[in-house]
Amino acid sequence: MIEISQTSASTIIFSVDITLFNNRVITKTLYWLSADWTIYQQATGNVVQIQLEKKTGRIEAEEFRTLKHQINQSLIDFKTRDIINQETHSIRNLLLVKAFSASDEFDEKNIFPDEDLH
Amino acid sequence: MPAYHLLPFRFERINNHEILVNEAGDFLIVTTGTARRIVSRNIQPDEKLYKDLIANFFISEHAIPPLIDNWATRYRTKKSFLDTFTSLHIFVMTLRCNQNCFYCHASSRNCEAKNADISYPDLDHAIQLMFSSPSHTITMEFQGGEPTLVPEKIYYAVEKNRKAKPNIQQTAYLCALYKLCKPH
Repeated sequence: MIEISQTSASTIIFSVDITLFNNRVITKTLYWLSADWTIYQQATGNVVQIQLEKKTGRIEAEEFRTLKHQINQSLIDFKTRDIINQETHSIRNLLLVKAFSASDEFDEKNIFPDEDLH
Repeated sequence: MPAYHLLPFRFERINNHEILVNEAGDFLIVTTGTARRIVSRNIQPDEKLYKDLIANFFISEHAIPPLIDNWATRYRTKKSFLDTFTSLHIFVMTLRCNQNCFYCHASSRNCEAKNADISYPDLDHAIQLMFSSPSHTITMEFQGGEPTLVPEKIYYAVEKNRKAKPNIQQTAYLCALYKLCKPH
């Protein structure tokens, strides 16, 4: 759980350890907030400090609670998606090659000779 | 920890559930947190979910699934529209409807509404646009409103297509409540 603090009527701040959530995950999480929030980031070592400034109006208490939940949930979700993408990158490429190559033209054993194929 | 391999899939939260979608477009609706459990290798082989995930190409007990050729065929079929681009074209012939069923998704108007039918110039232009598709098969779907309220325009469109592109395989569908239509 990331600790998120409200520092003014329209600003919140939190820090993310990039050994837990990499920059891809952080960027995807912040992207979905960019419509309503101006986003500032500063990296120091393994920690990225992020400040969100609401573009219009004040941050209401309920909105703050919802935002905290949303940020934490998004970080976990995007990290999970990132793991899936990394672990399945090769098999996805293999699937595409097999799907669109001429029949019998491609044999996965030539690509993954050391794998326990079946 | 079960030694399964992940296969590419996407997930999204929907209310209190998650929807998992694989590369071939097959999906499973599961409880929240399932995607995380899958990635953490916490799905046990004796769970029904485990078998569903294997059968639907979300996970595999082998680095390369034994049925990868079937999976690739399904993937190719799913993406077959890429070969020839758009083949299904939907024509809203009129917004008028003699039923206006409460469950209908269409923004229908009543039967006597004015300026609610497609004009012949617009129909010609839509047909021209349809034939700009490089697809060798064209499916024309007539919708509304109730499209049979303008039968002359349906005949016109079908006949125009036949004459314009006789070499293209053409199919026409009519989305209508036949039994409830007024006789013409």
